[in-house]
Amino acid sequence: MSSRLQAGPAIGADVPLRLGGLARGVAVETTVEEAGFPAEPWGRPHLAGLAAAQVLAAAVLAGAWFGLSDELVFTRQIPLLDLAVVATAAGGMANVAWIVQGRSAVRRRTAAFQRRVAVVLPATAAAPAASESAPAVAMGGGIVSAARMTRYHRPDCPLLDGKDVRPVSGTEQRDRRACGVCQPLNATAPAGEG
Amino acid sequence: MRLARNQWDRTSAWLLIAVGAIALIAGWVGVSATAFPGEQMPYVVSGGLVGIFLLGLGATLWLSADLRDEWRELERLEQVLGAIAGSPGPSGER
Repeated sequence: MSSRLQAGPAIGADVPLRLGGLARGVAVETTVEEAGFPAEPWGRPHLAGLAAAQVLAAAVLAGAWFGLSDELVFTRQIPLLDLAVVATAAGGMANVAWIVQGRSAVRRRTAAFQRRVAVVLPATAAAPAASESAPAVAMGGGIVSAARMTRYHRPDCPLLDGKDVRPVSGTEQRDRRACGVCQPLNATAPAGEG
Repeated sequence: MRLARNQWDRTSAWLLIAVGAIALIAGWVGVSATAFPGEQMPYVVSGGLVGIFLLGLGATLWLSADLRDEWRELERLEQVLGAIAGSPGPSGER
């Protein structure tokens, strides 16, 4: 984990990323502000914060329990009970903050990936289309999917990497939706723009 | 055993959820055994609140595992895209 963290620039660094080797020699330069993602959605400060909150909550719960066990008068137990409830709530809030942080990081990375797809795929997918008179992918033909997939794709869609797919018939196509990444019904403008 | 090691977060989540459920049941049994609030309160904390605490922690671990899976899948897709574009993804060379 640490080696990966050291390998790339920090999150938020404004690093221009040159995408070389694109079809037809198109050199596209884009700025990926999320350059250098860590190995996990959370950083060490988040992990330390969660661990500290949970350990503290557990310690307060244990202390409250010991205190309550020594005291048999209900009215004197109430402050300790309140403390235990607050500790449980604090632990729960730390959990929620952890999940929210993780979801936020995944959302940022997904957005960065979609922007990159929008830059890379038009250049690669448009190459055959430019040399043919007919669109490369037409409705009901030239699209593929697999038995358990809910979407159909272009054969060269990056989401199909390593998957066993087959051509889709018209009936099967009606039961599925078009992939949002390769946009098989749009021969010239794939890749989630907007 | 290998599954438990590879899926340590989900295994821990199930373990915490199971222990939390047992704590809740034990707390309920303890509270039911006495009619005095002063004797019930320790069970409310050690059974009820600790049970809720462990269930929350287990659920958090489970959701974290799902988020890690999404994270790794995105990393894989970036590498595929990087191969298409002929350059490494935003994750850098790995």
